[in-house]
Amino acid sequence: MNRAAKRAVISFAALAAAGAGAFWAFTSPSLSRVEIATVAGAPDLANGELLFNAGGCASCHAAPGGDDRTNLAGGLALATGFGTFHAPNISPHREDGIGAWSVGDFVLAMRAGVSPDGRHYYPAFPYTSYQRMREDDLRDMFGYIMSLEPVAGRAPDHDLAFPYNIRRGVGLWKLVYLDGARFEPDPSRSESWNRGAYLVEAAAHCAECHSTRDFAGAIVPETRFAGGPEPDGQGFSPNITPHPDGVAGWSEAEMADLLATGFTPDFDSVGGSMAAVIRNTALLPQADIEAMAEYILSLPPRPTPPRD
Amino acid sequence: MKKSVILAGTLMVLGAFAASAQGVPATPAAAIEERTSIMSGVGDATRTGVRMAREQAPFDLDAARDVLRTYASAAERMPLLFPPGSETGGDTSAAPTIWSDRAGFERRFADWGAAAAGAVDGVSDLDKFRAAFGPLADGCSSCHGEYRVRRN
Repeated sequence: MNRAAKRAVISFAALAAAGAGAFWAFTSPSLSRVEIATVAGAPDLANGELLFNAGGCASCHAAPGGDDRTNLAGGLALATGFGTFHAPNISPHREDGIGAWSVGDFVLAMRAGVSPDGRHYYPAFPYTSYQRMREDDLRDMFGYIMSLEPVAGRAPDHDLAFPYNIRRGVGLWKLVYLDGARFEPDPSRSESWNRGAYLVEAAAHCAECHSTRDFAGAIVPETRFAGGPEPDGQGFSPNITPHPDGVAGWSEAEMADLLATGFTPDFDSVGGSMAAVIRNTALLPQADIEAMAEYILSLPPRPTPPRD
Repeated sequence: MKKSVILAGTLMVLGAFAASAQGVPATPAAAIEERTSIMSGVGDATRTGVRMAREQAPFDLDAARDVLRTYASAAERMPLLFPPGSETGGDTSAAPTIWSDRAGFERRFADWGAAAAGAVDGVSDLDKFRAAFGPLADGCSSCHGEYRVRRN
């Protein structure tokens, strides 16, 4: 067991000593219940599809091995230091997927990481980013997912090591790491910069991979977008800040080209899980791709954190 | 005794020579270096191809055919450059799937190389080049998604 894992175990032991009652009170998924305004109006399915692509839903929830991005049977296994997560079925199947959900259930899942039956989701599901999305966008995204084919079948349960297998413990994690804040546009910046910021920070959740995490699996703020090891330990998501360690010197056109084609300015084609990200971003309107490029190149330059 | 040592030595040298004649690099480090350099050449060819396909550079038939030939020869050579022991080290961003799914990995290169080699003669103008080059360039990302890891 490495030092980080030991620290996590010690933290958990200390909390247990503080009292199981307190643990129970502080980990209640109802604490994560956020104010959900009524999401009125019919969903705009085209906007929902755009956000589905920007959000990279298919990268984890499309059935592995197939080419069909809209077969949302789940099943992708994500091996991490905490154990193996299995992406669930989010197709509109009533029993096995999310077909019986209301739009409010969907908003609660995306914002608070809580299931309709009141359980915490593990933050492998990147609600720490998705929480920043607008409600009308979430409604449209849900509408789009509900317009797809229902697929039967359930992914296996997550296979996690103690203490991470105590789902209730996610409640403590959320108290510290889930701020519940929405995306706030910066009026001093251009419309396209704000659009890019929204897509990068909220929907596309780029920082979830391109940052280094601490022992608790939370992003270390000074490494945000500056790169980090892949969760499965294979490879390293690169520094995407305009620092000499990262993408300093790239033009916005080159960054937009990467998001549209997967080619870097050296005509290297990005690999690993980024290839799947490109399959998502390549489908976005050119204006959105350019907005993301504009925002990424405006990030604070940060050095790449040291690797173990 | 002495004779047999010399004979064994000679056989070893001959064996090494035969191996290098078939093109298997002598060490994992040499394999990593060669495959990195080949892929860098593939990237250069891709730049040439993309620039012509997008009409950012004038179409040049010889250059277009060279792009396809570069792909074809890389596809022939690359599968030999992932010997045991070269999983990590140097500048490699090879994914473990290359070794766990060797057949799939080799099939991808065989299909891609055959498509590139098969297109060389038929590419007579920009439209025909685009039709051949587009799917081959798309192959970069789909193969790297499976057989390569992310890196800084």
